[in-house]
Amino acid sequence: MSRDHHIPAIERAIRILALLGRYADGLPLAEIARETALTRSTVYRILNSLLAAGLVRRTGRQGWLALGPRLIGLAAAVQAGSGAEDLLAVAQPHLARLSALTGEASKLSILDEGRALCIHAVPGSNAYALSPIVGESFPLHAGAASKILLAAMAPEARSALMATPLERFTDETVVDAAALARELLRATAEGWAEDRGEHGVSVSALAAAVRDGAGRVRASVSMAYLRERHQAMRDGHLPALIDCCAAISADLARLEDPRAA
Amino acid sequence: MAADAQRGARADNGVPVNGVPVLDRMSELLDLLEHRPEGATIAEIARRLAMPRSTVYRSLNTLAAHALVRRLPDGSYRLGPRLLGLAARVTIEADAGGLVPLAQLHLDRLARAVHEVSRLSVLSDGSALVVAVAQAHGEPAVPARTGEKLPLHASAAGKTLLASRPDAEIAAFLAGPLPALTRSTISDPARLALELAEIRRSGWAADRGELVEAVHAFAAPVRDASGRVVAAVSVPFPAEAEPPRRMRIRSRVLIDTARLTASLGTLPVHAGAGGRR
Repeated sequence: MSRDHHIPAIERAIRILALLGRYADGLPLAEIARETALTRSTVYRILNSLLAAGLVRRTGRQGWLALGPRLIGLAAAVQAGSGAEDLLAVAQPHLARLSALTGEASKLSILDEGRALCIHAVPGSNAYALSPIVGESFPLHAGAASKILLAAMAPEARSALMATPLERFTDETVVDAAALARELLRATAEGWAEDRGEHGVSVSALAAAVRDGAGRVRASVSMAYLRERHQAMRDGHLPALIDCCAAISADLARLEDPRAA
Repeated sequence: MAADAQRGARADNGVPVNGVPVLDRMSELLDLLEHRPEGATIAEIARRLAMPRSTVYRSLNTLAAHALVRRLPDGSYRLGPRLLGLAARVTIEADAGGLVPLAQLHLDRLARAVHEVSRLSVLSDGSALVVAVAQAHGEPAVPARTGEKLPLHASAAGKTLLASRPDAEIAAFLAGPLPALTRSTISDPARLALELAEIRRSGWAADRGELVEAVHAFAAPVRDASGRVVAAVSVPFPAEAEPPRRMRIRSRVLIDTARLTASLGTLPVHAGAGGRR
């Protein structure tokens, strides 16, 4: 897309927001200027507008800035428009319990524009736990939640996707369509999928499916952790993950049942 | 004004001084899309915001390239998924990582039950900062939005959070100014101290028109697994509500806040929140 169709000031503002998104405690103006390679006066003027909009806030530290509370309201509107509000409401306490029980991060993903989009995440509490990022999306052929969602797609759409070249991210990425199809069959039969470092070399994951009252797959709950924990997670926590998905599915079915209203 | 100093200098028309006009328009555009979950077209946005279509088009294009908005197949635009990621990185001094999303479910249930808005507030920079809101179905009598700041001495949520602080901190707060915002504001430190003691004892707080004469509210504290107060849930309602309705609102606030506290018992709440770094 040609740059002529973009607005440079908005590009710069987004760069600043993305930068602040990496620093929960915020950054001082000079640091923002250095990291974004913008002049201080440019950053100053952009921040004035972002502050007025509530997209950025001042922190308790003199001259420091961080992402602002207005983003929470905007994100709530995104969730309201996603059609996944019921799913989010039902799933959140179950994910919280799963992560508390296992100490590992858990996340909820849905199929969105041909990718697996994370719409809710609970950070893990153990020393090496990962922190999944809400709003991040992954290709459907690489990743545990991805494969659960891919396996549940309509056959024609799935075949079309698998007929395109499958991008390799690591040595473990399954790029052979026939091998991927076999794995999807196994995942469907057994009710869970695994990622042995297919998207990130050092990250493994387990995932299972959340179904609606009619039995259709609505989402996937997955747990991502450092790869060396894979065997221990499979042996120790796979049943808890499957139970978690079953409990969310049961709550969803109750929500849809008019007699329960 | 203090609130403006917090956000940045503004001229009389609300436009920031020394800002970037196209970013101020971007903020208005996001505002418009926030209230249009089904999406809005370029023509419609241009008309509503009195902006040239080409500017609207280029702004949306830029935002869409970063998934802050999304173009739908019918050519209209909605807010995009990247906002979920940015919002997840917003830290509020007292936020207990994961409190806000977990609370939403309980706030929604509460709002549905009482037909009023419900809010979650945390202590931030000497105010009760509203970090999550559930809108009432039907016509909410009192509007509420995230990012709003409620004074600690003149709101139900504020008094709830203030009452949870250590005695020395409360004493320091009472020594400062307690501006009378309405005839009902408790601006006498001795009376406010008694009120806070009562809130600690009873586990709930009331606002009897102390911030806005026509609006009353009930609030209750949200506790983490260690029993520490991390937030307050409140429901504002019209002052003219009859006693049976008030009692129903109060009991629902207490019930749903207790449920939120119970679910937090399973959530690892990050220690060290609330303090100044």
